[in-house]
Amino acid sequence: MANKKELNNKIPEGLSKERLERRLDLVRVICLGTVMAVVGIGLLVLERPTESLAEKRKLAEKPAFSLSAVLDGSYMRQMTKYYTDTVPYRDLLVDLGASVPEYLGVRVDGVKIHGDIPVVPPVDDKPPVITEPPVTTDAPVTTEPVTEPPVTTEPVTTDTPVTGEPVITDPVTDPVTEPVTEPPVTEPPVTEPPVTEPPVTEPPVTTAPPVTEELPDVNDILRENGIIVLNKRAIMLYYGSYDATARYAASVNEYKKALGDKVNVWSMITPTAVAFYLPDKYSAYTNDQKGHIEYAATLLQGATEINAYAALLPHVKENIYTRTDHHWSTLGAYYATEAFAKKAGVPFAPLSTYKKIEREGYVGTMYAFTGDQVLKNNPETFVYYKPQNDYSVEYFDRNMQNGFASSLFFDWVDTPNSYLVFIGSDDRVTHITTDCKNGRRLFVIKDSYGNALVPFLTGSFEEIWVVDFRYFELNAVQFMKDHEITDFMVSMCAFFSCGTGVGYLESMRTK
Amino acid sequence: MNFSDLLFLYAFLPLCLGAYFISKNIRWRNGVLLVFSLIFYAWGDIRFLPLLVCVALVNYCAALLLRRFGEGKRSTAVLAVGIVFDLGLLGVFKYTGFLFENINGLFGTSLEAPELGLPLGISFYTFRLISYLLDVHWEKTEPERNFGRFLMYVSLFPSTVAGPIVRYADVRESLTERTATLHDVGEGASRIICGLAKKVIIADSLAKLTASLFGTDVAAASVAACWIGAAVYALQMYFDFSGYSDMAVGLARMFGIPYPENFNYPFLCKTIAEFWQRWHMTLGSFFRDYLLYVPIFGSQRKYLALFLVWFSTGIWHGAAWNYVIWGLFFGAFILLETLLGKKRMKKIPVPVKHIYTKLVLIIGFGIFRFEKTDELFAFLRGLVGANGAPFWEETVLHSLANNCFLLAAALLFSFPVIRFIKEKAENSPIGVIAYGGARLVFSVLILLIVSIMLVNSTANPFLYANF
Repeated sequence: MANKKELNNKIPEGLSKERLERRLDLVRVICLGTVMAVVGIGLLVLERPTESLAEKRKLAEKPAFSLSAVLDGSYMRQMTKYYTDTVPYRDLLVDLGASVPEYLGVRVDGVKIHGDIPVVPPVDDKPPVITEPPVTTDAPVTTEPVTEPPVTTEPVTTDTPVTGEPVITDPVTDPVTEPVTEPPVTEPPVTEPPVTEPPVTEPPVTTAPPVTEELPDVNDILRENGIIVLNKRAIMLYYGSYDATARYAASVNEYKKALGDKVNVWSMITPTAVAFYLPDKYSAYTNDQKGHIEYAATLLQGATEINAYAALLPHVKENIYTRTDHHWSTLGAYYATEAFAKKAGVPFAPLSTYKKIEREGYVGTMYAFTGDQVLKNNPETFVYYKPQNDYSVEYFDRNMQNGFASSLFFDWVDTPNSYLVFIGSDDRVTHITTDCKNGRRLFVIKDSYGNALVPFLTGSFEEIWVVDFRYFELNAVQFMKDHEITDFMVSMCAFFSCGTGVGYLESMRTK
Repeated sequence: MNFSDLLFLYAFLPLCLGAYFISKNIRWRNGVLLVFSLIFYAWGDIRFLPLLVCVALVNYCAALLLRRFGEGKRSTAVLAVGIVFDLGLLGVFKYTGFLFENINGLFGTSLEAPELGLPLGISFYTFRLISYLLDVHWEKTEPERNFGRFLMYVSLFPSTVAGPIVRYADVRESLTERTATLHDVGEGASRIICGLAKKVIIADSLAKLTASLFGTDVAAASVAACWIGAAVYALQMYFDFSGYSDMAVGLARMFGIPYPENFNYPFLCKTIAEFWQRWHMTLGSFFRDYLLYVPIFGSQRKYLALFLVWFSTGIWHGAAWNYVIWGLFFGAFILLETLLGKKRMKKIPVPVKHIYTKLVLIIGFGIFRFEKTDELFAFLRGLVGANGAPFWEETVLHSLANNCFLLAAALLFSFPVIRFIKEKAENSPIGVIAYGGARLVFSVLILLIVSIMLVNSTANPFLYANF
């Protein structure tokens, strides 16, 4: 009470504490009520978007009212989703919201962690160990890890040795206009299986198991991977496995068996940025991509490996991966395709003969996933190269319907979608006819990494068919036979070939 | 729909407030609240709306019968039937799956539990109804004779989904006569915004940090990650739950209904018993008033009562063994403190008591997080480095650095800083104006930031164009 009296004494005459508080309450209610009313009315009357360019998707649709939808609750769920999903100026607001986490802390050594970063226990991922079946009961059992390729009918020759690669310890800087200080790149250690581990008695899978499981949504799985931003480069961590790699190799072997000797089968597992740019101290958070790629090579029977890892390794100081996207760059695709052309014995045009096109201000998917402000504020230059020889391109639906002629490059896609500049979309079949009359017809099963290498092949094959491993609806083997294919290449990044995409590859062979 | 949905904040709530304040008298206002509460419930889970009405009707009738029969066997029988009915429904809907899981585990069977679903808010409204029946039986309150009003009490949307456990006796008067002053509306709105900030800005961000620290496999997390992860999780739970309670209290206050407080800065506690006097207070007082001191236990059965209270506290939070362990874990420390006695506890230096309680809380909330038994034991092993994981890992440093301001804010606001500032400000008229002005500016800013973050939380970018 004393305090109240004292306080009232200090307040100007005619304005008691109660009156002051009442006035403040009035102002507060008016202000908050106005904000709620303005926002509420705005949400009601402003035009709602139907798609989000930033998120590359259609937004939720307004549900149709029906009694059954109300009674099963779907109307209310869908309406709640619609109301939030289609907020006016959504892309702008999402962008603003993404900046909030930046103010929650600081970066030490330029590192920001997005998503869950699990430690990958090495014991969970090791190449299977073969135990030779004993010839006699007295014979000692020998156990040794699979490090040598199994005996194949066609020995695989490797132009680029896997071992003896130069180990780069210098700091890598991107040769782009803005200086980017990268952490030192050293090869992550290959985790060898401990010799004392109990051997697995099953031989390595050389025959692909029938596809019975439901195929996972690989895009969703990929989006859940943890991401580390190191200075200005985002690196998506990798959770492939030796087991999936063995299934991949077995599937490629089955393709070779089904296609016979007349078709050259090529396997190119494309490494991702994590294989080159993740410092050693984070190696516990990712699986051994290089080890998986090498392991796949040892399991191929009749098919030939294109070692994209070895082809890219000498160029890590160049701009072979995008910093703000989960893909490689066109330059990276060029070096890998060059290795393929060499091995396939087909002509290959040097980079200087291509028309170089640059797009400024590119910020890719890694920003969309993380909302990382450093990525947003440090866009990169997206570069692509157009071949200058003659070729024509037509596209078909996933099941080879509704063909139409179009361009190999979709120059008009907006900057955030720059990677879609090559062959436009993953879910169409691409057919390229070129002026290279060498009688070689190539069929490529690829993921989006493969899109960037297609333009570099227009001078190497007479015909090129390109399909995506997720979307092609026909039997791939029959398709190749029907179109008298001479060369078949599987070109998928390690995320899919050593991870979640193997089921699709098999499904395409057996459907 | 929940309180942190844009649809709730900018459509449901303004419509409800508008309809409420243009209604002339208490009958109409109660009607508005009842209709909006039923819509709110139906929007969340329309399948169980008939169940809610049915349960309310049964308890309404039971209470009338209790009053009619007065004391005696018939009254006791009605009470028993009412409580068994309420707990039976809770048991069937919440614990059937758990029961089947344990039977299958014990006997190697593969019985399939029926897919019943969990009615929205059943844990909360069951306890509200039990407290109502007992209060009527013990003549602490009169039974409600108007079913519409009683249904409004049971289904009132501010407390339907996650409490607080409001007793009928606490709000009885306000159901028939209440006024919501300008001050109530303003304070209620500020409280809602405070709750939103706790939930959306702090708790949801802490949830990402917790997930990042524990990773997807807690067995591989370092010792430091386990300890810090559990500590951050404790903060996350506090801001999440107390934020929701703030919103509930604020909403009710806007309608002039006095809801009891549910949290009182629990991390100030110096003993575990004190923690439970500050954490989820309406649940604690429910168990204290209706279970712990129920005469059936008597003084000889103090420990049995204690066990039952903490077993119930645990399993009420969820149908999994980790919740039971969590409840009994706290019960064990409360028993320890009881055995030591108040005098001995007082002699322990305050810093030591703070260290002791915080360690217990960190381990306790770690237990609360991991529902799967293998993960729970991996976490407990991880605390002492028995998983073979290192003591420290690089990413812990980065996770903490990336969220250092968030953590500082969370620690700061888990203590009564705002209350302290308010008390200081009230000492002078300038202070009152400055505090009121600052609160208003922050309220508007926070409301806008929260709204933007809510839009951002629905961002679902695709790898490739998916138009």
